[in-house]
Amino acid sequence: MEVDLSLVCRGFDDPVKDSQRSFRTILNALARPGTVGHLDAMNLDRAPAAWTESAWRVAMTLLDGDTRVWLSPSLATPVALASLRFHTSCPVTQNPREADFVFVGGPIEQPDWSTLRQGEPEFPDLSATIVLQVPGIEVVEPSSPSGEAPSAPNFAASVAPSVVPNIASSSTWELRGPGIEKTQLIRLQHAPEDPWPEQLRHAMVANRATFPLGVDLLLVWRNLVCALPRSTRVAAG
Amino acid sequence: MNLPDACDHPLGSEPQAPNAQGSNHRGGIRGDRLSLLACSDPKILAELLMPWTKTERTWLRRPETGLVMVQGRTGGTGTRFNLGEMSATRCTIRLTACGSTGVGWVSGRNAQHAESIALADALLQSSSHRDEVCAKVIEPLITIRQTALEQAAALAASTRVEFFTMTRGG
Repeated sequence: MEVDLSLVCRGFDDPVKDSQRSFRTILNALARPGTVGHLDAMNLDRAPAAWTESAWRVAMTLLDGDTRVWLSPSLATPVALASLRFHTSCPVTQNPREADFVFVGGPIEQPDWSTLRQGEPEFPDLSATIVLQVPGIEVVEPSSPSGEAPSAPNFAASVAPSVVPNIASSSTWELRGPGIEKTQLIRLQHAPEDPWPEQLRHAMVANRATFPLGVDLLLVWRNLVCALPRSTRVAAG
Repeated sequence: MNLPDACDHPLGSEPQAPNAQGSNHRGGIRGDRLSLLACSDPKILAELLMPWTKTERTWLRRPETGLVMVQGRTGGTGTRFNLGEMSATRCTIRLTACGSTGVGWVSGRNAQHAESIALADALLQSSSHRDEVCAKVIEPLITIRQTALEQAAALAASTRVEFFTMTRGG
């Protein structure tokens, strides 16, 4: 497959350092589910249209020639495909069942989680990671007094809801599990009466039931990333 | 890529169709030029590109050095096998003004050379610079290569031994 170079958008300025920094942020987010990591802002011309900055950073950081990737229809633009091919040389698959990374442009575009790779009992790590763009994430102040100081730049960045236009409602989730001392609250913003937060929560519950198999979820919005690994239990807050 | 071109050398003009000028590989005329640039002396190339060094550009890929697997075929026709790895440096730039993109690949680790190649390639993709770059960079490089080839051929020719076969019988 040849890449149309005229479509390719810019990647990391300093691929080694930038991707290491991003990797660290994603790792921290996964270690502390429900906290928000800041993937440094990039120039907007670097992320293809329809991709949030953080989704693009995650792609640039985690993908390589060995990771099969599925893109939801809104993300699979010619610019994104050419740029992914150019910068990461990852194989893009049409079938979400065989993908290691599933990038989803919005909650309504999600494939059925149970059809994704769940890993095998001997190798639970052979499972899919979903990178889901959501219309807004807010971390509610931690309910537990912090026994140990969390790393400063990656913790509890509360984002004022007023900066999200046309979003009237929010759903609050209560998270428990490894990496969370007691409970952690996050708030997902969405349009009123939107069914997806409830559907997503049910998917997370079903995903938890098959532990240690299952998929991991990265919620991305603007330059933020919030991880909900399969070990996290979600309850409506 | 059917814009009129001032150069009259095969390497200097755009083909009407890929490989129309007799290029025998997939890269076509662009590939031939990239090969010419990659085989050129980095210092000479940098000198020839002096007028364009200030051309505004952005990196799509900064110069990076890695290993590429060189493949061979037994006798040129057999099955492919991995001959070994060699180091190569590549980079990709985009010109800010016209948006044309150039790639530079060079064997070894000379990042400056790779950048010069990418710049020349990008300029050759841009209709406003192509003719001038052809005349002032590509043509001189062709001449230099031709001269070098002729010198090598002359060196070899001086050692040539002619064999005669006498006509036997009658």
